[in-house]
Amino acid sequence: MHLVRFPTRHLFALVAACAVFFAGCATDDQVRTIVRDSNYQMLLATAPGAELGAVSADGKTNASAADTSAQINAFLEANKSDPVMAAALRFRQTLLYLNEHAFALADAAFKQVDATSLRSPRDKAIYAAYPDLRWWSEYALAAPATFYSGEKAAAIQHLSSLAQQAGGLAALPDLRDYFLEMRAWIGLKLGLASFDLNFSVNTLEDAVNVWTATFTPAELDELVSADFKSAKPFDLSTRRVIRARVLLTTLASQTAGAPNAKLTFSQDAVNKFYASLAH
Amino acid sequence: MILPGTASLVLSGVQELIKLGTRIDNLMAQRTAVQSNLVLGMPSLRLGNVLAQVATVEQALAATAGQQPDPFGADRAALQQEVANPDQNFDTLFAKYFPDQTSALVISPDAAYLAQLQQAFPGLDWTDPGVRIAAVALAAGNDPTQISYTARVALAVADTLLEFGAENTALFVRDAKLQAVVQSVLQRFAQTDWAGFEQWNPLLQAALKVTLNAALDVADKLPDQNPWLDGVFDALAQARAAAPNPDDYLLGLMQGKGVPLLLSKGLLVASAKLDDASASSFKLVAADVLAAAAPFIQQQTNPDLAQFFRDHWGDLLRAGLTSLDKHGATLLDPKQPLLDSVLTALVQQLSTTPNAGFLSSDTLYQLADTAIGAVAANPAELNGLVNKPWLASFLAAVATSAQQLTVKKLFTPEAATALLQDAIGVVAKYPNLIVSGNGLPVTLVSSIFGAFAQLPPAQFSRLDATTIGETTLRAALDAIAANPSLVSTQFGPVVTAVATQLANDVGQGQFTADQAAAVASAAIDAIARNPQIYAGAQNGIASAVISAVQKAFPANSAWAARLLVETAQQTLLAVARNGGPTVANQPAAQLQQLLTIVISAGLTTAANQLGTSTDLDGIPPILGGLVSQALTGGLTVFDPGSPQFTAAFQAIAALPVQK
Repeated sequence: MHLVRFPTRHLFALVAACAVFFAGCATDDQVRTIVRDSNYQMLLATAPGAELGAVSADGKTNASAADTSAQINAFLEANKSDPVMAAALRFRQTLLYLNEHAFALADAAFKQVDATSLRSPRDKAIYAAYPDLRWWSEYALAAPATFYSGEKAAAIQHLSSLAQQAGGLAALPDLRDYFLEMRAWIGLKLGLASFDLNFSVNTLEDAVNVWTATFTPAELDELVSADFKSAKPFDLSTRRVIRARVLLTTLASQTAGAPNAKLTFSQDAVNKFYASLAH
Repeated sequence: MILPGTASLVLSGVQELIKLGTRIDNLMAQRTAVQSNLVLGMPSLRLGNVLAQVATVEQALAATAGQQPDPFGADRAALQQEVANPDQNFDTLFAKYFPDQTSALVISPDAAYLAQLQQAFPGLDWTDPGVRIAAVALAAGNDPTQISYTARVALAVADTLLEFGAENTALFVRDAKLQAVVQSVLQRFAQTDWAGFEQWNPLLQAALKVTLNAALDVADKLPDQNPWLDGVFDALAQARAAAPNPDDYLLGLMQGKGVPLLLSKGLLVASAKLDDASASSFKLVAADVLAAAAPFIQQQTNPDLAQFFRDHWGDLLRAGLTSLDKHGATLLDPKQPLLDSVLTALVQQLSTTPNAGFLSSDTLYQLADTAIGAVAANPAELNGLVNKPWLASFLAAVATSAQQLTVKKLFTPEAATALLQDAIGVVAKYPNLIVSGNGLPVTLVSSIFGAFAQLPPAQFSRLDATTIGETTLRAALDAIAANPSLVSTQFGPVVTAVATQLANDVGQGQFTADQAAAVASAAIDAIARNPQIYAGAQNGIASAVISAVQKAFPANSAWAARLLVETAQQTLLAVARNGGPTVANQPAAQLQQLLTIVISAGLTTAANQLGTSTDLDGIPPILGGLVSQALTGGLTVFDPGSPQFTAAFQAIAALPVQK
């Protein structure tokens, strides 16, 4: 008899066998579903209105964020014995709530995360930066003058904190970039919300400079040329170049004709690209 | 490679993991929870350039100063205060008087990024959530301090074992022999290079998977020690070390189509037949085969050839293994390294053999096995083997035949392989045929189906081709297998001509495909009975006989369907038995004319004699008898109304039928 070969990481037979063999055991499939659905819900939030296909091959799922969160609760209730898995999933739930702007629920979930049981470097770093993420999620949509008058000090503190968090993430370049980009957007909002010209200019320049200082020469070239013919769509370089272009284009459109339009950045390529934009 | 001690530690870890039955799935779930990608959106934000807004308000205040009614009414003072030192009230007032500009930009960095990414890469399916997730997800990252090297390798092994299901996983825990197999893989394909774990782990898992699949097939017969397996793996590890891109190269080799069969056969056969010394010699053979194939696999200019050797190196070694079973370990004699020489020569020859890509795994295996057998029977051929024309011709004939059978899609791949293997099987029985350059059984495949390919396609269906071709070929192969001396006659061309003629006749509606196939078999039987007549000096005798029978039956004859095939058989036999002098003295056309006259007369007489001296089934043997008498001069009057002819008919009808 020749054995049936299973596709890598598809443990259907095991799951079936487990039902008989190891009654009551947690299943990898359940966790995969949670991961898949939570990623999908967070993806929906990143691109509202985008036409997205079904997340599962059978087209059945696409639970709501609330469903996914309930799924996590039920799963963790039934599987209390593994603190590592619980911490990872509870933290995922925290971020899911945060993404939904359900701050009270996010904070409650965050409190349940056992930080000592977090294993992945990514989760540990995001956990450490949770106050920054939490604050920005709450105030990112605030009106500008309100933000400046009420959150200036907090914003300055979070700019500093995120720069510090990013500094220790050489081994996690995508997360480092995420923190630095978030910092850049905070700086953009803060700088544009200020009626103090010097503060505005300095804050805007710093926001861009700290992030783009991590760009390689090739990335800076690509920032200007926007030539992605030889680029790979899912490379971090492609991601950060396009995201930086989005940020600088937004900045230029906001400063167009305003006193704080004259900005000088530390990278020539950034200056060149910014100068090419109408402002 | 890792040390045996480390491998043992890993295995012990795996066993512990697996023994903790209830923990296994938790471990997998934990890993998924911890290591899966995370989509973390960048929050949308509201922007507004307050400096620009203040300037706008100042300009408006100045432009409307003293205006009555004041467009800012009671708020003018508050606005003047706000432009000097804006606070949260500024947003409210600005929104009240400049509603068009207040919808300050709300931007979603992720949506803007995805839109631009989509523009830059329009070829991707951006409605696929998987594609978008890949564009925004954050990796979990590696933290080597979290889990030891040994535990991580153990998890990788456990992960692979779990894919085989709980039953086999439990078997692994109990069976020390299976553990030895895993240990062998671990020692060769796991590395001590911790930093490169992500690179070499897929290779380790692929190697484990294919080996365990093979081992589990023969688990109950596995030996305690498996020096042969170690030898093959050592050769692979050696090939990996020599490759410019080691892990990718080896992964390609392990994923070759022939590898599972090589391992399952190897585990079963080699351990029983090969001692340590022989296994060690086999390792050298494997290493030489891989080294010979390496330049073709690694070169970029011919990816088909590279894939061919990736797929088939295992088939070549499997053939080597089988040949050891047949011919004994003397093939590994270092003084006369027959197996090594044949296999490396095959690699070289296959690299230049046209149509080699059409060879299936099983065909290539049999081909190699036959070539080894041929050299084993003729050891003198070892000298300069790689340049021997017979080897090149043999490979070319098989490859061309495979191409003929495959390209026209006359047969399913399995049926084509079976047909070709039958042909090679006949050659394998007589290895001297190949060495003498007489690979007729194999060339027959390509000559018959090649001739069919020349026929007008509209007249000839695929089904007809397969029916006639396969029947003819199998009958011819049986004939050669029974009498290999046929290869030195015109047997091949005659068979091809008969098959082509019959195929053509089917196309013109003169035979059904089944009738044609039966006549072809009868013709080959007759040729085999008397190759001197049918495959001798004079061409076209068999074709002439078949044509004569056809012509003798009136168009739309009611008897044709019932009597045609058997009449052809009887006539072919009559010529085989009695046609010597006639064939020697007359051209085929005259023979055909004579036979047509005799059979026509016989059929006319039969119509009158039916129910008197014969029944329908009795007619073909009587016609065969009349032909025999005509050929031997015993019958010279062919008028069906004459008393002599009728008497001859009745006399033959009274005789017992000759088989």
